[in-house]
This record gives sequence, C-alpha cells and structure tokens, in this order.
Amino acid sequence: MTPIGISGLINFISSILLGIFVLFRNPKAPTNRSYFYLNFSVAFFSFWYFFWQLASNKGSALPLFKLLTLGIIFINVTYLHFVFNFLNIYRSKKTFLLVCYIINFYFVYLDFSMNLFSDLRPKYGFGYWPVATPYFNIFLIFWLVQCFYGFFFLLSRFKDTSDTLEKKQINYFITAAIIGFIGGSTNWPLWYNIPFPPYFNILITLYIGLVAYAIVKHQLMDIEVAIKRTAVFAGLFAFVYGTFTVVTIIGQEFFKRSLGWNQWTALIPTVFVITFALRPLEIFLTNATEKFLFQKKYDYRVLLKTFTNEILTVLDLKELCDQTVAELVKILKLEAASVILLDKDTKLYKIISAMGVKDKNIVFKDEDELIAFLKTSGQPIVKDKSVDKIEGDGELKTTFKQLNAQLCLPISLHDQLIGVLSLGAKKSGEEYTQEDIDILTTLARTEAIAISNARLFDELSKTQAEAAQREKMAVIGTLAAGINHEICNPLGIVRGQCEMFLLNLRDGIFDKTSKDELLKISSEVMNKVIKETDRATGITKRLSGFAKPSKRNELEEVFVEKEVGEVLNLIGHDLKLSNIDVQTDFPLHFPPILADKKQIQEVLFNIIRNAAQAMDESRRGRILVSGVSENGSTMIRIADNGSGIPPDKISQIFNPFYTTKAPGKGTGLGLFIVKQVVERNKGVIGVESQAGAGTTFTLSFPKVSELAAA
Amino acid sequence: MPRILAIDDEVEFTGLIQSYFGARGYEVLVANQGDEGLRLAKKEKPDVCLIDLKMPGIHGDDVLREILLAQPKAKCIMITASEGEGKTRERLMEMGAYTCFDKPLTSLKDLEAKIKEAMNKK
Repeated sequence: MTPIGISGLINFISSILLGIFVLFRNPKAPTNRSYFYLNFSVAFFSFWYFFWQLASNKGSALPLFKLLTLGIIFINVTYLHFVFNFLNIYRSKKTFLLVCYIINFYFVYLDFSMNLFSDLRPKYGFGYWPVATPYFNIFLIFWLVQCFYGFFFLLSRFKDTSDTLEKKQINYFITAAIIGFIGGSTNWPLWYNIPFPPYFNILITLYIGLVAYAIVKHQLMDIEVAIKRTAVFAGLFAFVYGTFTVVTIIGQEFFKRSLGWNQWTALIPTVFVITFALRPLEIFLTNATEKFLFQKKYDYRVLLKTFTNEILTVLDLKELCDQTVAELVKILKLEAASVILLDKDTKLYKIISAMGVKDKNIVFKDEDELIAFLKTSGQPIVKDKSVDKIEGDGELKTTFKQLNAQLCLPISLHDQLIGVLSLGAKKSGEEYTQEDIDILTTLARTEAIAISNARLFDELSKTQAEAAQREKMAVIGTLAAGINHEICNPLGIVRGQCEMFLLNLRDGIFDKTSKDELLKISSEVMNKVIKETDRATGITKRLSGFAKPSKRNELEEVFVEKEVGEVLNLIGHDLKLSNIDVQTDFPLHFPPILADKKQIQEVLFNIIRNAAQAMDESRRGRILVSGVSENGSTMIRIADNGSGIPPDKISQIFNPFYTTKAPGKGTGLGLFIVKQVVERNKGVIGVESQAGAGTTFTLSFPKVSELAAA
Repeated sequence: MPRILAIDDEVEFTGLIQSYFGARGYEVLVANQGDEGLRLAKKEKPDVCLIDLKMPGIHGDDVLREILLAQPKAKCIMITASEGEGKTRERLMEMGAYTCFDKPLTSLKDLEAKIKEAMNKK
C-alpha cells in the first residue's frame, strides 16, 4: 500500500459521500445532478486508482488502469456540465456539451482499445504507469481545453456579477477546482516518464473539502446544511472504518507475534473498542459540529427563547424596541439593526431604536420605495437577492445603504404595515439563509403584536391617569364647599370683627365707653378672632391630613367612630346643604381596627360621598354610619336611603371605570379604590342594595386581638 | 329706625351684623335658618334683608323667591360664596335680588353703604 494509493482511497470516500449528499439534497435540480456526475467521475477514478496501486503485476494493473482512465476521461466533461448548470447557461451550451460527451466517448473506446497508452511499466516504485501514445496527447489537450473553458465562464461570471453571494460561491468553487485539478494533474508527469510523483493527488480531497465549506457557509448550490447528521455519520463511518483498519492491522500483528492468535481472534479487541467508543464519539461529533459549524442554529434557539421570555413582554415601547435591536445584534452578531415604526400622527416611519446606523433621523414616507414595496408585497427584502431585481431608480439601494441593512422585514398587524425591522450584515460574513428569513419573519410578526400591546398599554395608562386625575378633582370638588365654609367664614368673621372695632373707634361709637368697657369689648373681639382662627386652622389641618398620602401601610389602632367624625368635619357642611342627615351609632368602647388611618378615612369619605350622590333630591336623605362587633370581626356599616343599585349592576360596582353616572361625571374609580384599600388593610367589603330603597356597605375587619394572635 | 333682617346659618356672622349695625342705629333682626328668616320677613317687613345663599334646610334663593313673592319691592342683598360667582350673581339679580356680596365680606363699610342706598330707593 503506497501513500498515493491511500490518497486514492480517501479521494474516493470524500468525493462519493459529498456527491451523494448533494444529490439527495435536491435530486431534481440539474446543478445537483451534474455535481453528482462530476464527483462520481472523481470517485470512479479514485476507486480504481486505489486498487491499481495495490496491483502487484502488469496483468492485474492493466484493467484497473483502463477503468481509472475512464474516470479521468469523464471528469472534465462532467465538470463542464456542472459549470454550465451552476451558471444557468446549460441551455445555450447544450449542443457544445453533447459534442464534448461524444468526443469523450470516443476516447473511452481508445482507452479500452489500448490506443491512449501502449503499455504499462513500473516507474520509480509507484506501480505500473502507462506509456502515452499520440492519441493521449490529443486527449490531454482536449482535457485541458475543457478544463480552461469551464474556468473561463466561471471567471467571466465572477467579474460580471454584483450579487455578493454568487461572487463568494464562484470564488470558492474556482479555488476548489484549481486545487483539485492541480492535484489530479500531478498524475500526468509520470505518463511522460517525468520523475514527478503524484504526491499531490490528495489535493482532490481538499477540493472536496472546499466545496463542502462553500455549501455550509455560502449555500453553494442553494444547499442549506443539515450536515450535522451527515457529518456525524461520516465521522462515525470514518472512525469505525479507520479504527477497524488500524486496530485490526496493528492488533493482528501484535497478538500474532506475542500471543500467537489468529486473525479472527485478533478482531475481538477491535469489537470492544468500537462498542465502548462509539457513543461518546457520536456525542462529541454532534457537539463539535453544532458549535463550530452550526453556531447559528444554536443561537436561534437562544434568540427565540430570549424574545419569548424577555423582550415580547415589555410594555414600554421604547424599551421594547431598544431590547429588540440590542438582542438581535448580540445573538445574530450583526453589524447593524434598527426598528422603524409608523408615527400615527405624522404618518411617517421613524427610527425608534438603532445600532450601527449613522443617521438615526431618517424618516420614510408611504411613497418611499422601501415602504411601498413592503406594503405591497408583505415580503422581506434581502439586499443582494431582491434589491437588484426590484425595479427602481436605485432609491432602494440608497435606503439599504443608509440603514446599513442587509435584510428588511415588514412589521405588520392586521395587514397594516406598522413598521420595518432592518438587519445589517452578519459579522461572520454569512448570508441570510431562507431558514434565517423564515425565523426572522415569524419574529417580526410577534414583534408587531408586542408593539401593538405596548401602544395599547400606553394609551390605557394615559386613560387611567386621566381618570385618576378626574377622581382627584371630584374629591376636591366635594371638599370645596366644606373648605369654603370652614375657612372662608371664620376668616370673614375675623376680618369683620377687626373692621367693626376699628370703624366703631373711628365713628366715635366708643366715645362714651369707659376704659374698662373698652378693654372688655376689645378682649371679646380678640377672643372671637382667636376662636375663628382656630376654626380655620382646624379645618386646614384636617384637610392637610386627609390629602397627605399615607406612607406604605402604616398600621395602627384606628378608632373608626373618630375617623367618621373627621370625615364629617370635612364634608358635613356639604351634606347639610344637600339636606342629608348623617347619624352615627357606635357602641361605647367600640373596638379599634388595625389599619392605616388615612386609608380608612379615604374609604369612609368615598362611601359617604357616594351615598350622598345617590340621594334622591325629592326627599330628605339619611346616612347612618354604625359599628358592630360580632363573630370575631369589627364591622362598620354605612347605610343610606338613596336610589339603590339594580340587581344586575351590583356585581359590577367594584370594577374599575364602572359608573352609572353620565359621561364625564363619574370616573368609576371610587368604589374600585375603596375595595382595593379595604382589602389591603385585611378587610372585606360587602354591599346590599334595593333599588329605590337604599344601599348598605359593610366593612369587616378582623378584631385587633385576632390579628395579634395571628 | 331702619330695620335689617339678617338670615344666615352662621351665628357668628349674624352676631357681627347685629353688633355693627346695632351700634349705628339700625334695628337688626336675626334668623339662623331659612324658614325662620322667611317668617320674620313676612311678619316684620324689614327695610333690607341680608340673605346667605347656602344654608341647610331652605336655600337662600328659595328664601329670596318667597320674600319677593310676598313683598315684590323688598330689598334683598344676597351673601354668596365666591364659587360660581358670575352665573350665580346673574341668576340672583334676574330673580330680583338688589345686589350680591361675596363671602367672606371684605368691607363692612361697603355693605353699610349698599344697605343705605337700598333703603333710600323706593
């Protein structure tokens, strides 16, 4: 076994495997089929080459040599066949190719009729080599013509094409073919007795390797690789075959010499090695191919997981877009990315978030080519494939350049284009495969839903904020009458008393008043001023205390009847003006509840205010606030004789934004807030109502002693 | 002796009016409820009525309406709170009020001047 014989074996294995792989990827594609013919020719040549090198005499070498020559004859014509299909010029070259095949078949005849070579002779220890005839010279010239003719077309296309991907693919194939031809051509010198052995025959495997790399990295022959299983299979096959070979050869020698085993017994250790090493090797090869060749697939799982768990649930629009761009750039290893969204007010598409884009102030209109195309087609635009094909004045190319984009995906919702996801080139130089585009298209659709959610949440927050503000205003409005009465009246009295005293002094009313009498009068005035000032201060303090937000749940013992009094101080006057009587009924030593005092005030205020608003103006309103302690609970009831709540509405009264008042009059948040606050203070709120008769709210809180025990 | 009827639920206010105008030679009648004020107005026929607009029970504008029904030439000065100023004032003037004063009173002298003016008008 010579090294060049082994090179033949390796060339055979690699070329036939890749040929079969390419064929099975798409048996109907002419490019794939013609590549298979090429590799089959190489494999055929290599196979017989291997056995030819094993031949021990001229008689056994001759038929093997004829067969390997048959392979050589068809290598170049199948090479041409592949090039014409690859470059899509087969139709115009069909006749030429047919002629080449016919000529090559003639050379086959010459091969088997011993006219290409006259004899086989041992040469320089490299087996039996042919003696070339003049016909061989003609064949060699024709062989080279075919070879260079193919290169001519490849180089022409390489020069003419602006498609970056196609350029890369041709580049790799030319390089691979040159290496393969050089390697194979090192067999020619020995035909002419030139002492240059075909050591570079092994380069044919390098040609195979380069083509395989171009398939993996640059989708040569439009093959997107699921090479994982094939590589694993090939690795296992090579391992088994190699191990079997090595261990058998070495083992046989060893066990024969040392233990005197025969060749079959020596196989036993081989079986053991393969049995125990097979599974770990399979796992190793699987992980290695994933890591080094298929990093992108691993990353897409990360991409999808990151998007599903983290990004698509973000409700802030800017943050959503920022994270989308950042994660896409990170996971896909991109040079640039941006999210462009439609501004509903200006009807312009603006960049919301971008990385790797110089000018982030670019805006797009509906009539701009990028937007128009995405709207019409709903399909992604890939720079090298689609941009050239889309007719236009180069605007699209300019747009892609501005965005530093390689791929633009529509972000659409309900058939409306709400944005564009622009992705730059991958740093690895890899192109976007169809699988990439499919995954990213799905991502863009889910991004559309996330964007829509973020926008709706923003609107909802604004609506809620407006409603909360209206609620605040409503509360202030309720308090206004009380504020006015309790502050303005005392101030009016203070002023009036002072003014009256001064006017009396000026008008001489005190002229006949004694000093003692005057002192008494002025003391009375002072006392009234103090009293009224205290009255105003009191209401101000109460109001301030009511308005101040409570610190998070400051729990303390709250005496509810006292808090009812405080609330009535605030709104009692307003209730009086509305002809509403408020009465309280708390037993002596009514137990306190453990709650936040201010929050309880807020609850009582809201319920009493609600009750007042529900009153029928035609009769005198009554509100009774009472307390009862039973069954381990401290209960407060607020009962009114208002209009009541219809049975079909009673279950909704605690829902946010539910109101029976006219639009703009009620916010629908009052009772919602009441329920939240009561529950936050470990209480329960219940309601009973009869339409036309009145409503009773019951607040139940655990007894302080029960809470302490808990 | 000119007679003033002060109708206001605020005791301190009616006390102030009584002290001030009483010291200046007016007879001041006081009512701290609307219906009491109405009764006194019909019975005593004061020269000027001072009526607080916002009172529990009968509202000031109802008191105004009733007084004017009974005595169309009665001079009624309304004491209004500052909220709803423009429209409230307009409405009360249309109802027949002589004038309106805001609460809190900024000047007893101005009130006195207005009361004198009302009394001099027939």
